[in-house]
Amino acid sequence: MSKEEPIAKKPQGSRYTLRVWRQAGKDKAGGLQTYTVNGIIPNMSFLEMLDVLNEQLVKEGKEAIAFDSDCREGICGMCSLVIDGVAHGPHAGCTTCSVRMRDFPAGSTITIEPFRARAFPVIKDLVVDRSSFDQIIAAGGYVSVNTGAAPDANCIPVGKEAADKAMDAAACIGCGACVAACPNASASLFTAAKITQLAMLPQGQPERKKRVVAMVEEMDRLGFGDCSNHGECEAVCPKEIGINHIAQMRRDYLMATLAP
Amino acid sequence: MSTTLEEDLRAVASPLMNSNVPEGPLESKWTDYKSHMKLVNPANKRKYTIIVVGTGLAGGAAAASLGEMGYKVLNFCIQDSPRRAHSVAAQGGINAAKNYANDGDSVYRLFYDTIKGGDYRAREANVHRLAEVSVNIIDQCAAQGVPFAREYGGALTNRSFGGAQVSRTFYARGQTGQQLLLGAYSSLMRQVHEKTVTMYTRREMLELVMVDGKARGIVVRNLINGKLETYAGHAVLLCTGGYGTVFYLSTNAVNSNPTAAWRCHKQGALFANPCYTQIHPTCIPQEGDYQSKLTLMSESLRNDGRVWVPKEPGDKRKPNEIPDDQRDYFLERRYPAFGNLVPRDIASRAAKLECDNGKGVGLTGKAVYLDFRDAIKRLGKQTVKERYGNLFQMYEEITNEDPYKVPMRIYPASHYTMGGLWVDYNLMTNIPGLFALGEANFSDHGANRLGASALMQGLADGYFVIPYTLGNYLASSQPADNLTTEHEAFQAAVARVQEMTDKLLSIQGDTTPTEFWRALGKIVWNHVGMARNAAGLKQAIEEIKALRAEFWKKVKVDGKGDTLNKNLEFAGRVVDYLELAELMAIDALHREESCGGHFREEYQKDGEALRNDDKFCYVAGWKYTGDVSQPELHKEPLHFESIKLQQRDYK
Amino acid sequence: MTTFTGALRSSLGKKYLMGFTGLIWVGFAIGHLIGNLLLLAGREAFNGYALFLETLGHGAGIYVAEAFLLMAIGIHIWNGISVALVDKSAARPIGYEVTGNAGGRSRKGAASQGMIWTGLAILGFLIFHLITFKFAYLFGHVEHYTLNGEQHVDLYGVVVERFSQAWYVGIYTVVMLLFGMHLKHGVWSAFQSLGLLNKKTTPLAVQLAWVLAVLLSIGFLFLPVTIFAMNESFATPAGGLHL
Repeated sequence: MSKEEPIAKKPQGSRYTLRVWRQAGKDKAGGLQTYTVNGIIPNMSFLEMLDVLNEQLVKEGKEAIAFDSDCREGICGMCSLVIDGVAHGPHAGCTTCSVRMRDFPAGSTITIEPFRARAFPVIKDLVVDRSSFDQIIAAGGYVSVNTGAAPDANCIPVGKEAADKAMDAAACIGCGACVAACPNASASLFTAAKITQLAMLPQGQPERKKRVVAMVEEMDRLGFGDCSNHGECEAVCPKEIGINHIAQMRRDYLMATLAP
Repeated sequence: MSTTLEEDLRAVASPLMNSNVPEGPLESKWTDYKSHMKLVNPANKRKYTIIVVGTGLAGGAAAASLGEMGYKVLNFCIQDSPRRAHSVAAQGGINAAKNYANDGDSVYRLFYDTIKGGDYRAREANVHRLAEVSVNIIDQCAAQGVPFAREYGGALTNRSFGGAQVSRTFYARGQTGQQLLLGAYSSLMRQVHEKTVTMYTRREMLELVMVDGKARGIVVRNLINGKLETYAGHAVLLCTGGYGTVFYLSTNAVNSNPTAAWRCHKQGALFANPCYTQIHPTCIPQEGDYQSKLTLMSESLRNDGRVWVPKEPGDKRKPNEIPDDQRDYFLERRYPAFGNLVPRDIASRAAKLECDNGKGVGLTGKAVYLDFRDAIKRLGKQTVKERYGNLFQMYEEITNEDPYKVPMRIYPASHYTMGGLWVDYNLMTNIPGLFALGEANFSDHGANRLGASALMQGLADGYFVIPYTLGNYLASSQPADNLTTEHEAFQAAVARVQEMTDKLLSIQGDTTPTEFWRALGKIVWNHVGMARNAAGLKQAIEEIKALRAEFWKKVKVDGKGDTLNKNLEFAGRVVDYLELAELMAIDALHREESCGGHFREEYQKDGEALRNDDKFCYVAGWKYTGDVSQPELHKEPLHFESIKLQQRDYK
Repeated sequence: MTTFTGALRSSLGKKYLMGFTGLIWVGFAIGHLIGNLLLLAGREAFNGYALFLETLGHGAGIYVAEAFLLMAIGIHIWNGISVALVDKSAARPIGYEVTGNAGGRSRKGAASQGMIWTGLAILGFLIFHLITFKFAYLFGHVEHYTLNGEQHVDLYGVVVERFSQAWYVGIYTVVMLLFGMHLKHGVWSAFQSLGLLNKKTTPLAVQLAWVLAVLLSIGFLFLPVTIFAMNESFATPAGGLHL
C-alpha cells in the first residue's frame, strides 16, 4: 500500500443510528439490529453510507450487511430498500442509490427494511428475489419479432406524441418499489407500464390483447395483491411513472376480455 | 506505408493471431462470407448447447437471437435480472449509417469515422462490417418497440455526437442504453418463455473449462448460496463487458468486473491492447474517497453545452459572475472545426490540462464548466429540457445545483475499455469455441471509441454477427457431442476456484478488499490514466506488484464461502484487478507511441497524440505464461486497404 | 383467451366490480338524499313519496330495485373483503416494522387505507338503518295512517321520532363522516378501477369525489341535525320545517 495515501482515513462528518433488517437466509428468522455509523458527509449517497458501515463491520470481524446495488446512478433498478417506511427513501423521483445523506438530519435514526411482498421473498438481509418481474415480462411483455425480420425502421411511422407516451411508460427500471410501497403489494404499476408502452406503438398492436391478458394473469398467478388506487406506487416510482398507466391496462384488459 | 514495413509486420504476425478476415473487397467481404459459411441444420441446432455469459446488449442480443434460431442457450448474469446489465446506463444514443438526416452519411463514412476515431488501431474489416449492420440494428430495435425519439411526422430523428460531422445518432431521451437493453431483454424473455433460453441469474463466472483445447464449459459461483456450479456446452460466449473498474473511480457499475475475461486469459486467451482505456470527459466530479462510482452524463450534452474555465488561474468567482471575455472556451478555441464535439480522449485531456494549469473550478479544482446558458437563450428552456431533462435532473440530485441556472461541473473518469480479449473476424478468441462479444473483446474501436458506438457494437455482435459465425464454427469444427460436467476438466476447474476461495478466507488480515482496490485505483489513475510516461509506468508496475504481495498477506474477507457473501465476491475480483492492472501498465509501457486513449507524454506534438505507425501499427495480444509479470507478446499487424493512415486532426 | 366472466375473477376484474357496484350505490345515495329532503316539506309529502316507491310497478318496482341494490352491495362487500383482507395479507405475509407515506403524488391515506373499515361501518349502519326505518314495524310499535281505506306506516313519524333522540343522531353523524371518507377515495377510485381515467381526467375525478363526499355526507347529516334541533316544528301533525 502506498505510504502517502492512508487508505482508512476517516472524513469528518455526521453520525447516524441505523436499524437494519438482518436475516441469514431465505427461510431464516430475521429482525432489526442497531448500528451506528460515523463520518457521513451530506453529499454521500445512501448506499455509500452503507458501504462505509460495511467496511466498519468487516474490520470488526462482523458479517457485512447484504444489499443489492449495481449502476449507482438510478437506472439499472437493482437497488431497493425501504427507508423509514418509504421505498427508495424520502427523495421523490430517486432510487436508493441516488438518495443523498443530506436528506437525513445529522444524528437521526434510520430504519432500513427489505422490500416486502410474497412475490419478493427475502434472500438475505436486505436482498430480495424479484425474478417474478422477469416472469411477468416473459408472459408477454414483448413484440414477437425475430432478429433479422424487421422492416426499415421508418416504414412504421410513430407520431411524436405516441412515441413520447410510450417512452414515459418505458422508463420503468423494474426496481419493484411500486410493489414494496403498495399497501396491497400489487405489481399493477410495473405490469401496466410495459403494457402501455407497447399499446402506444403500432409495433405492439398485433399482440395487444393477448399480451394484456397473459401479463395480468401471470401477475395474479405470482401472488401480487390487488390495486386499490392508493397511488403510493406513483409517488415512490424513481421514474415517476403515473397510475394513468394502470387505467390504460384496465381499459385494455376489459376490451381484450369483452371482445377477444 | 513502405513495402518493407508491410513485410516486417507480416514477419512478426503471430500464428496465434490469425484474424481470419475473408478475402475480397472490403465492401463485400461480410456479404460474401455469409453466403459461403457452413450452416447448422435447423434440426441439429437444438442439439447444441451455447453458454452465453452476460445479458447486456451483446449477451442479451446473442442469447435471444440464438434462442430464436433454435439453439439451446444457457444465459448467465451477475445481477438479479438480465435487465440490469450495465448497458442500461448508456445515455446518449446509438450510431447507424441510415442517412435519415440527408446530410451525406453512408456506411463508408461511419466506417471511416470509426477507424479515424479509433486512431487507426482497429481492424478494418470488423469496423466495416459494424458500419454495415448498424442500419439493421435500428430496424430491429424499432420493430421491438424501442421508443426512439421521433419527428412530428412519425419518422425517426437524429442528433449529432462527438467525432462526427453528420447526425447519425438515434436516441430515446437520455435513456438509449436502457431502451435498447430492454428491447433485447424482452426478446430474451420471450425465448425464456419459449424455453429455448434458460436464465441463470446471480451467477458470477469464475472459470473457463477446456476439453481437448476447446472451450466447453464454465464454473460459476451461485451468489445466493455460494455454491460452485458447472455447466457444459459446445461454445462459450463471453459478453461480460470491460475492465474500467480497475481504476476504482469509474462510471461502471458496482458489479462490472473483468473476472470472467481475465480467468479466460489465464486459461490461454490472448488479452489484446489492455492499455487502450477510455476516459469519459463529462462525469460529475468526485466528492470524497468513499466514492468509487462516478456518474457519467451523456456527452450529447456537449452538443449544446459549452465547456469553459476562467481565463485567470484561481479565479474563485461564481461562474455566472465571470463575464464572457474572462472565460476560456478552450475546446472551441483549440478545435474550431469540432469545437465542443471533439472526441472523448481529446476533450478529457484538454480538461485535465486546464485543471493541471490551475484553472480548474469547484472545491477540488478538478472540474471544468459545462454551460447551457447560451443554449437556453437560443433554444428556450423547454427545448433544452426536452433534450437533456433527465440528465439535468440527475445532476441536480447529485450536486444540489440547478444546471438551468448554474453551469455544470464536469471532470473526466474511466468509462470504457477498448482493449479486451483478442478475437478474430468471427469474434472467436484464440481458444476454439470461446467467443468474446461487445466491450469484452478488443476489435472495433481501436485505441479510442466514439460516442454512441458501444451500443452499436454490442448489438451488432449479438444480433447480426455471432448468429452467423457461431454456426460456421459449430458446423465446421464442433460436433454436437454429449459432454457432461462429469468430465474431469470440470472438477479440475472447480478445484482451482475452491483453492482461491479457501486461500482468501484463510488470510484474515486487517485490510478489506475495497481498501486494496482503492489503493490500486490510485496507482492506475495516476500512472496508467489519461497521460502516461515510461517512468510512471515502471513505477506503477512496481507498486502494483508490491500491493499484490501485500494483498495476499493482509486481506480480510469476512463471513463464509457458502452463503451470499458480497465481500468474498469482491475479494475475487480484486485479485484479478491486481493482475490485470499490471498487464495494462506493461502494455502501455511497451507501446511507445500515443494513440487514442493511450497518451504517452513522450510521444506528442503540441499536446496532440503522436502515433508511430512504423513500429506500432499492430494489435498487441498478451499471452499468460504462468507469471503475471512475464506475459508473452504476440502481434497482429493491422493492414489498411481502404483508408490512408494520417494524423487525427479535429482542428 | 380468458372470457369476460373469467376476467372478473382476476385482480383487475375485482376492481371493475368494486367500481361498478360502488357507483351504483353512489347513484342510489344521491336519489335517497333527494327523496329524504321531502322530510322538510312535511308529513304528507314524505309519506306520499314513500307510498309512491312502495307502489311503483304495482308494488314490484321496489323489490326489483332492492334486489338489484342488494346484489350490487353483496358483490361490493365480497370483493372488498377479498381485496383488502384476504389478498392483501396473502400478498404481504410479513409487514414492515415502520410504515410511512411517500407524500407527493400519493393518494394513500386514512381514506384509501380505511376503505374496508369505513365500508364495514357503513354496512353495519345500513343494517341498523333498515331495522330502524324500513323494518321498524317488525321490531316494535309504529304509528299508521289511513289513506283510501288502507293502513300505511307513518314513516315520517318514525323518522322524526328517531331523530329526536340524541344518541341516534350521534351515531348517524359519526357514520356519515365515515361515509364521506369512503366516498372521497371511492368515487374517483371507481372511475380509475374501470379504466376511465387518464392524466387529464384524474384530477377532475378526484375533485368530483371530494364534492360528492362533502355534499352527500353533509346532506345526509343536515336532516337529522335539523330535525333534532327543530323537533317541535317537525313533530307537528303537518310536520316539515317551519321557520
